Amino acid sequence: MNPVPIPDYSSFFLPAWPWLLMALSTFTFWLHLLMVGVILGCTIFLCVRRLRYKTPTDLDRQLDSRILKTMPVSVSLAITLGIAPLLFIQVLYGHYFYTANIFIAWFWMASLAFLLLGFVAVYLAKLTWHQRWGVLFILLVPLMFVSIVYIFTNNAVLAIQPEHWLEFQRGLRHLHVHDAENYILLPRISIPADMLRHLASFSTPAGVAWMIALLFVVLNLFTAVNGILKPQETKWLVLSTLLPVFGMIGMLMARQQLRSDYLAREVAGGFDIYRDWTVQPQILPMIIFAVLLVAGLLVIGFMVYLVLKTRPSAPPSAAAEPVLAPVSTPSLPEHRDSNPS
Amino acid sequence: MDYPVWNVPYLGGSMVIAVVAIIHVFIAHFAIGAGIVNALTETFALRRNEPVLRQFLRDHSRLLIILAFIGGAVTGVGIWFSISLVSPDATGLLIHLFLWAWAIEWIFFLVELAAAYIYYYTWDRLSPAAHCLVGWIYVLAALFTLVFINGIVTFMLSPGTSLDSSVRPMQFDFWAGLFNPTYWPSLLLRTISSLAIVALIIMVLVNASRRYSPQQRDLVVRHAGKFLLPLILMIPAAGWFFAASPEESVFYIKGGAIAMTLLFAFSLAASTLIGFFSYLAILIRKRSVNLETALLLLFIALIATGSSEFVREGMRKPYLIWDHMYSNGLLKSQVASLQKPGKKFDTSILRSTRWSIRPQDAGEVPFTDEDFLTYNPAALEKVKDTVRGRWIYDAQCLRCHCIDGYNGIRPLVYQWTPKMLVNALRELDKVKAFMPPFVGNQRDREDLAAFMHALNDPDKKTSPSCLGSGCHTLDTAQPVRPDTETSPDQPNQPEETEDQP
Repeated sequence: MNPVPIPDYSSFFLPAWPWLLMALSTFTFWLHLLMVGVILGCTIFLCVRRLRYKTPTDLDRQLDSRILKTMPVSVSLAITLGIAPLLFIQVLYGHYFYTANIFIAWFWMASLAFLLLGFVAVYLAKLTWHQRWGVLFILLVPLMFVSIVYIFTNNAVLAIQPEHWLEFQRGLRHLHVHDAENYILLPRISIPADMLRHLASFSTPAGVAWMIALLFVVLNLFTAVNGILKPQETKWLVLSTLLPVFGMIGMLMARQQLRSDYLAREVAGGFDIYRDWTVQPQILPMIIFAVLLVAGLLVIGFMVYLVLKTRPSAPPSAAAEPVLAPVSTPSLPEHRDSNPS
Repeated sequence: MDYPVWNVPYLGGSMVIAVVAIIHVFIAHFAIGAGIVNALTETFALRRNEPVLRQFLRDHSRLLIILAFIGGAVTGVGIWFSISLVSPDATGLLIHLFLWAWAIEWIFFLVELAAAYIYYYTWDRLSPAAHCLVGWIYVLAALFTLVFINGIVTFMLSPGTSLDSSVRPMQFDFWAGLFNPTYWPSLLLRTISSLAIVALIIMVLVNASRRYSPQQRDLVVRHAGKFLLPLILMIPAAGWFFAASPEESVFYIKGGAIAMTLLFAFSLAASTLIGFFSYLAILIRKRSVNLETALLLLFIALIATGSSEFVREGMRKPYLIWDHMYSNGLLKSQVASLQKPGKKFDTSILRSTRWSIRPQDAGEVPFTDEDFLTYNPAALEKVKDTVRGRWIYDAQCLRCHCIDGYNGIRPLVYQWTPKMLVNALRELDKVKAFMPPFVGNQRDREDLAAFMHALNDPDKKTSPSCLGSGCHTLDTAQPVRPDTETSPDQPNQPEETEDQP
């Protein structure tokens, strides 16, 4: 089969070394996935709890309330942390990424609507949690976010398989109903044996990291079971939280490796980020970025410290309220009438 | 131009960007202005012992979170998504040139997000001074997001550094590009606009709430009125902006495109008048503003902001990145090499814009996947001229022109003859200064002319929706008439092109 035409990128340059951009892409994507995991975990946890208990105890209410209180912050953080990997992926693989985006353009744009709905559902769930139908909103949250994950996964898979682009070019992006089943079949990725062997050969750091990640997954089963059986021993809880958190790094490295292997195929244009990109590092902006990243994290840490070092005071008492006038003021209509504006 | 095209019937991809971007601009300006106003107001309230002002901020700081971090975050991502679908070439270029500017902006946005949530959740927890400090951290972070994004946005109008894409890879001066000629006036204009939007929202909020007595309301309105005052500077700031803009771009504002001139005049007049209103009525004569007036002023200010964004975008035409990339993704440096003489399919522009070819459009004419992948001129020759014209239209016109709807091509070429169309395409950038040049050979011009002519031909049953969606073939269309077969060297015929409606 002749190679698929890949959009030209030869006039561009990389403003940093590929290894650095890949490392930043993996690191920021890891942070993003952690927050997405927190959202999905918390909402599914809340759904299950809510469907299970008939009459919530005070403890139930407190726990639900504390989880719900963190949700808006988690969603905001997940979105913001998602921006950085999106940036690095565009600079490394933009010509593949954009093409895949365009082929699933309506779905890609629909993910914004899902995001907005998910975000609004978080707030509505928080407001209506103790009402009978409050659970509906919290059910909507994982539904929306999983839909986004599904669309993004499709995009990622399509981007590394240009051999399927022509199918999309033939009409799927115009949403012809008879072609819809093709879309549903995606992501149709079955990793070729040679790539899998390459990954599992320990010949690359990604391969080693992947093996460690798989080991973590197996260990996690053990620690999780222990955590359930011995809830008083917090070490199991800590371990079963940390193992997947760090195991995810190995999986993301393996993902990068697979992407490279896929794009290196002749049918995909034989793309190699180390060989094909010209690097013109923008040193000063890069240094400023690094310094500001550290400074930014320190500032966030400082603000969190400010909050933690002060104990929460009692909710605002009635004594604080008299600053303001009563709800309706007799002089209000007169005042408005006298307003020349 | 070598990416696939995203077809948004009736609305057009550029309008999708505009809608998302305008909403985002309002929200982003609000987020920045609210930070400045909140921090200044809280500091002022603490020093002058004005608990009402502090209470007002406390009552409404939730709006900042909801607007900035739901609306702002979603529309911000939305701009990125939509520009990468409509103009992947320009998005890719900007990402490569300004990767670190965007990455730095991301750090500031992260700090801004953390500061906003801490600010909102800790009114009762932090001491007033510490809370005020968090407010100022928010201001700095928010302002620095503007500092970097403003550089990228203004770069598109006044790059400030040469972008020579004929040298591979392109040479680029990051700092000259970021702090380009229109950078500072644009920063000033956006800051003024941010403060004004927030001041007017405060006036609406304080009037809409029944929580405040008339005296308290007047106090808040007069305090907010101070933030409208900088609007008086809009005229000199706009003058500075236009003085720094490329000379050709200001041509549209000076009457070259009457819609833009009027929008610009409205935007400037409305902003300045609101500024003077604030000075004379609110601050000098100590009048208050009621809910209806506040709402009216807010809507006028938002329309003025939207208009000025429209003007700023329009000034760039025919470029996306001034003097470098045209609005359809064509690089200026590519034009000469893509203009080909003759009519051979081998030299058709479709060779360079392969993803605008849709084999299924060829209908009964055999056009296989292999023909697509290898670019087979013999197979292309058998395809109807109107179908080839549609593919060329998709590659070069669709990003700005729908068939029907926004900037619709059908009414634009109504009653044009194929000959007029071919002649206009030959000198397109000279016939209309805000259009990019047409690239391709004479056959490409004729094919595109055939397609455009078929749009308004009553004898041909070509439904708008089918043409607009690019789903079906134009089997009923006829080849372009022989009288259009003019030599590429034939000079343009102004008497015909001037007949355009």
